[in-house]
Amino acid sequence: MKSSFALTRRLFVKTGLAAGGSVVFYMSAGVLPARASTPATIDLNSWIRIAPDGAVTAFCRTTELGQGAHTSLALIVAEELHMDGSAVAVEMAPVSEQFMDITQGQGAGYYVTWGSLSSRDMDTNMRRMAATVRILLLQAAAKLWAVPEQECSTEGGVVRHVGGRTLAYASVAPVAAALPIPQNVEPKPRAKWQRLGHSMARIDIPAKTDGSAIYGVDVKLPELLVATIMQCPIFGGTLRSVDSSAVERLPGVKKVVSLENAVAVVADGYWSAKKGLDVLRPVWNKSPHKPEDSSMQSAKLRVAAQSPGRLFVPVGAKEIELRTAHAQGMARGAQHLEAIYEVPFLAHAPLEPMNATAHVSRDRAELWVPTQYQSMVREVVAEILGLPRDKVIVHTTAVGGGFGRRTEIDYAIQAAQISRHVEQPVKLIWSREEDMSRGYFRPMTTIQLKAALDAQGNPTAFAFTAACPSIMDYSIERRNGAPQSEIDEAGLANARDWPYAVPERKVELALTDLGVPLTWMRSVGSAASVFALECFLDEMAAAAKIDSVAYRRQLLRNRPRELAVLEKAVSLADWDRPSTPGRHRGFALSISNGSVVAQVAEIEVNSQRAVKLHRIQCVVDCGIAYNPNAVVAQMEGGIIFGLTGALLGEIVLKNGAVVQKNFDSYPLLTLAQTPEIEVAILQSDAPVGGVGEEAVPPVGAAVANAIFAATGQRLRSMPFMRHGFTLANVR
Amino acid sequence: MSYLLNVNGENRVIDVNGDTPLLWVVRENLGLTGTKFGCGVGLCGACTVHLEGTAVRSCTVPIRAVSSNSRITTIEGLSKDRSHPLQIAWIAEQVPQCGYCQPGMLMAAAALLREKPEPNERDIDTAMTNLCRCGTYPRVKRAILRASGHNGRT
Ligand code: FES
Ligand code: FES
Repeated sequence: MKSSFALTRRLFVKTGLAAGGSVVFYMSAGVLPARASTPATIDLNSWIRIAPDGAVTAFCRTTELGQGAHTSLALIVAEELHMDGSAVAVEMAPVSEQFMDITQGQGAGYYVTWGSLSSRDMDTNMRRMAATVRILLLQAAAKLWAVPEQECSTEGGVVRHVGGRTLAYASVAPVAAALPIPQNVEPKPRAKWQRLGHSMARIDIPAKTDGSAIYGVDVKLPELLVATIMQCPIFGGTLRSVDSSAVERLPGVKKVVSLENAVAVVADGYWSAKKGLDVLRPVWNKSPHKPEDSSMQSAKLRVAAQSPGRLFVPVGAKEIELRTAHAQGMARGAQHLEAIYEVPFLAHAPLEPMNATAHVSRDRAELWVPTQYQSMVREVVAEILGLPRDKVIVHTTAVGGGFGRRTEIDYAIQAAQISRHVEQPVKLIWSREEDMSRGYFRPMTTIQLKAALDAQGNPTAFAFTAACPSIMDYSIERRNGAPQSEIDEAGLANARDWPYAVPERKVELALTDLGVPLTWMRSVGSAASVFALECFLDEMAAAAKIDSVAYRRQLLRNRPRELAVLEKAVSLADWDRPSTPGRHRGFALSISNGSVVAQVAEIEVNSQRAVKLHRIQCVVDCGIAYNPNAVVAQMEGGIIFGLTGALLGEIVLKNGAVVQKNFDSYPLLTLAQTPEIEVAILQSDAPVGGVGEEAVPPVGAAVANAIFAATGQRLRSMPFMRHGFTLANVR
Repeated sequence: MSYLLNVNGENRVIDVNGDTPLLWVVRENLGLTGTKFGCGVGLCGACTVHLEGTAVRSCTVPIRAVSSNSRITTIEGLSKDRSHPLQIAWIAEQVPQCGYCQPGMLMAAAALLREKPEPNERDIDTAMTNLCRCGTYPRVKRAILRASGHNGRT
């Protein structure tokens, strides 16, 4: 590294950081002392590198999980730099303080992929960063030519003067790096976009069609050993002892490593390690908090959901007034409805089982991890090994599915511990059975709903109590001391911010621990909340004797954005016309992470109670769709993920351990069972919203409402197949 | 034990315990990591390779059950340069998300097309039992139809 010099508090430029004299444009928050006269321009770290050969690279702290985040970033940078999208490469930024996001949460800085935040992060920051860099390049060329800036323009990686002269970005970049940073550069207005908003082929896809993408399980290193692990099957239990002598004599086995609540076999390959593990007979200490059987757990949540919980009180409101108004609203009702909705624990079950590779030596550690939470890996591994953080190097590999599971870092910690033990690089690969049964899970949740309707069927009051265990009691994120309520109330948000004109709401949370490790799963609490809300709304419509869509229309009369999404879905599905004979439809709508999604499910149930999922039609308003085809893919994937959870998925505890071990007892939707999926994107002026998680919440409700239309049976608990249905192939 | 295999057109000799599944031989002994481990028991198809031209789930095939000199094709051997019609269709339809299941999907689809060059949707339903957690099934189906000359639509 040569020199680095500050230009303003927030935006400064370094040169020569990369090999070969590349110019790196770099922003940082709060790294340098503030100069009072300099307004803050940009808040997050972002990087753009222009190499001498003209290659432009954008750095990213978002893990590419197949959501197309890296392609969106390339498009954003290309749009602002007036280049071809395919001319911008994307690389993961180093995992170090400089690149942490310090604007969210309580911690020292985040390098994490969650909450559908990546496109929003890019929207607010990278667009502005790239726009600023373009102005700098333009000014640099103008200076070199000694012409007014206004006579220069940029296109295709060069600055052009009206007289016809051109200079490549790479050749003006060193001059640009020495210019004062222009303040408050506005990114291109949407009307002027030429690339953003048009589908671009994802840059990560080619390597995923020929086996060349390197996932965590594929990492190769000299002297690499392979380990596999057995963790105490009963949550909360620890390892008492293990007789490793016989196993350590097996061919290929190098060592048996004991951890606090697990035992791992290290060998020359996965198969030798697994064979060793299969004959190991570890003795476990009894768990002081052995979880109860799931039937007991759900009984406990039902009780909690029917008891008073912690009331959500909006800022400026008073609890007592809220309760009184609610009680009065309830009393005004001409009829009263009440129902309980339930969802079970779910496993994320990404197709790539948990794994990590670590090479720990005395004074440093290097890890290769398919993870969503790089900064936490670095922080905790450093702490456990007693190393300074900058001696822990974390590389992000390709990731075979995250869905939230890889925001936990247990597998990375284990790999580091095992590598330290054997003093060699080790790749730890969990078996599918460990992956399925060891958590962390989506919390089991029970929701009680109540509504009062007046004589015309209009709601006069509404109550929602969710009973569930707290994610923050288990997630590694608790280290950051994030307030528990914020996280666990995520699911309540759907009830609180329910867009329908439903007055006098009482929204409560009853946290009830069940002794099972938990974390975020794609759409978090929304999958449970929206299932309950959108099915219960159908119950309210039925009680009011109004078509469920007409009822929603009426209650969305002051919500133009949601109404537009509803109307679009209704016209796609031709809702107001009777459905094809034998087929039945259900509707649901939800809002999460700034995006509105409506779905219509069309299904058939035969006399043997076999369900065919014919079609899901989906409309999404995510504000801006940077890469529309990738948004459609996320909707398709979210719908299929949501269908798997709603119809098939269930993690059950018995005698303190998880029953499901593999895809035979935890089935995923198959190609033959997958409905035709039609997605329409409704562009709006709203800020960019998430698309990775937002198709999941409504789909269960849409299907349950359709099954009611077909059978007259209300499905109030997931998975639906537990209610005596089977899932048939569509064709 | 020593085993002689013909992998992607090359003769390879490997020395490994006879109960080792073909999956781990391919991944660890031969270093061809495109073939993936998903479940280890034949349920997901991530490990699909061709054995004598037929799709098999390599996690369930112990190496000793593979006869000497058998022809094995892995995703790395599907084409040299992503030029197999399925790979072209896969990119055109933007099929992969995380991509982890896709080598297995492609190998299962390639075996299907060899047997039935113009499959209908039901043929695809029957042959494509591989699991994808990301939900790429609609695009997998479209890409197979496209590669088989249906131009992406039925
Ligand atoms: S790993 Fe072979 S079928 Fe799943
Ligand atoms: S693309 Fe992720 S599992 Fe299929």
